[in-house]
Amino acid sequence: MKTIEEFKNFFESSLHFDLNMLEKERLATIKRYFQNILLHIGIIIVLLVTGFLINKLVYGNYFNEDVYNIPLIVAIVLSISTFLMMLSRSSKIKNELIANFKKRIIEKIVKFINESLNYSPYDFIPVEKFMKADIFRDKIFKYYGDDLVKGKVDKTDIEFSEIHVLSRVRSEENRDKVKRVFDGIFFVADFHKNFNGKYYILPDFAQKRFGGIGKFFQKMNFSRGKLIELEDPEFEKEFVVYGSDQVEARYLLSSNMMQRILNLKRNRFPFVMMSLIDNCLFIALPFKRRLFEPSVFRSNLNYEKSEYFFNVLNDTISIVDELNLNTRIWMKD
Amino acid sequence: MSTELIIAIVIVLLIVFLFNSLIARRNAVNNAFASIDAYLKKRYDLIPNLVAAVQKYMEHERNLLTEITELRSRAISGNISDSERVELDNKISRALTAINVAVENYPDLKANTNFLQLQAALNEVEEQLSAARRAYNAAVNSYNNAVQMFPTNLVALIIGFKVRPFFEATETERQNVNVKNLFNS
Repeated sequence: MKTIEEFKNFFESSLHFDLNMLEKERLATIKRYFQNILLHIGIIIVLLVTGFLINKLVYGNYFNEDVYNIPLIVAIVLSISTFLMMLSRSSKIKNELIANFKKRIIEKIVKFINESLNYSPYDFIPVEKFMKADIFRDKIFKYYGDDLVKGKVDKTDIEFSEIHVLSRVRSEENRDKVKRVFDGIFFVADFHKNFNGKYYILPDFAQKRFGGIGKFFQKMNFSRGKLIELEDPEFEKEFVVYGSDQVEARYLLSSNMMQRILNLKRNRFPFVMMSLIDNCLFIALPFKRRLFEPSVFRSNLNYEKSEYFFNVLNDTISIVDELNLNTRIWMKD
Repeated sequence: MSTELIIAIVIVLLIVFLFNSLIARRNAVNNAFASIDAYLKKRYDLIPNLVAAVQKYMEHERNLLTEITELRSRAISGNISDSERVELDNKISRALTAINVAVENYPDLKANTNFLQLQAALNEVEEQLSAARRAYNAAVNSYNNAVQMFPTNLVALIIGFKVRPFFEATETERQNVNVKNLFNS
C-alpha cells in the first residue's frame, strides 16, 4: 500500500510530466474537435443551399408543394449523413484522447501502486463472475464496464473493474423502465480459507431502520440461506449476514475479520457489499460517478484529480491488506 | 363455527408454534455442540501425525510430546465425564500452543513441508473449533432467550427445558491471548 506522501513525490517526479504532455495534446484535440464540427456544419450548409438552388432551377421555386422536391430531399439525406459522420468523428477524436490518458496516466498509477498488476482500459469483469457473486439478483438487461485491473498482490489473485448493470422493470402503467442495478467497482479476490457454502454480507437497512421487527423479517428471508447472527454488536449494526452454515460462516468471519470489514466500511467504502462463494471473495463498491475518466474540455493538469484516481485505486487494491488476505496459514496456499 | 372453537384452535396453533420453535432452538444447540465434537475429533486425529513429525527435531520437548499423546489417548478413551473432557481439551490446546511456540527454536523444522502442512491443518482446525464454539454460544443464546422470555418460557416450563451454559474461555486461554494473536486471521 502506498501513502499520499509517496504519491505526491511520484506525481512531482513522473506523473506531472505526462500530464503536461497530455495537456498539450488535449488543447490540440479540442482544436481538432471544433474544426471537425465547423467543417461538417459548413458542408451541411453548402449541401442545403445547393439543394434549394437546384430545386429552384428544376421546379422554378425553392420549394414546390406539388412535386417531390427530389434535389432538396437528396440534399437533406446527404446533410443527415454528414451530421452523423460529424458525430462519429467527434467521438473518435475524444476517445483517442481518453485512451491516451488511460494508457499514460491510469496505467502508470496502477503500476506505481503495485508493479505486478496489469491494467486494460477496455476490459471488465465478465458478466458470469458478476452473476456468480449473486449479490444482485435482478435480471440483467445491459452489462458493460471498463478499466480492468488484474494480477497478484503478494499471494492473492485479484481483479476489479468499473461495471454498470441495468435491468428492465415493468412500471405500474405497464411500460418498460430501465433500472440501474449497479454502478461502481466490482472486485474479485481469491479468499485465503477454503469453504463450501455461500455467504452474503450485506448492508443492514432493515434492522437499522425498524429494529426488532426488521430483524424478524430478516429471519424470515430464506432466499440467501439462514440468517447468521454474529457476536460483534458493531458489525451486526452495519451488516446482515446470510449463509448456508452457521459454523463455516464464523470460520470465515472471525472476530478479527469482522473488525476489518467494519473498518473497510467506515473508513473507505460506506456502501460495501460482499459475498463469499466458491473460495472467492466478491465485493461490490457502488460509486455514483464514472471513474478513471479524464475531462476533455477542462484541464486534467491538477494534483487533486490525480489524487482522486490514486485514492480510488489504492483503496481498492489495499482491500487485500485490509482484509489480511495474504495470511495463508491455513490449508489453502 | 362458534367463536369459542375458533379461539381454541388459535390457542392450540399458538402452542404448537411455540413448542416447535423451542424444539428447533434446542436442536440447533445440540447440532452446534455436535460440530464442536466433530472438530475436536479432527484435532485428535492430527495429534499423532504432529508428534511423529516433530519428535525427531524436538529433543528438549520430549515431556511435552509425551504429555500431549497421553492427553489425546485419555480424551478418545470415552470413559470420561463432560467436565473432564473440557479440561482435557483445554490442556491439549495449551500443549499445542506450547509446541507452536517451541517450533520457533527449530529452523529445520520450520522449513519442513510436511510439518508446515500439519501446522496449517492445525491452524485450520483451531479456527474451525473456535467458530464452532461461537456458533454453539449463538445457538445457546437464542435457546436461553426462548426459555426465559414470555410466552415461550411457559411452554419451556411445562416440557422441562432448562437454561444451557455458555462455552466460556478458560482463564488460561484468556491469558494466552498474546500468543494466539500470532495466528490471527
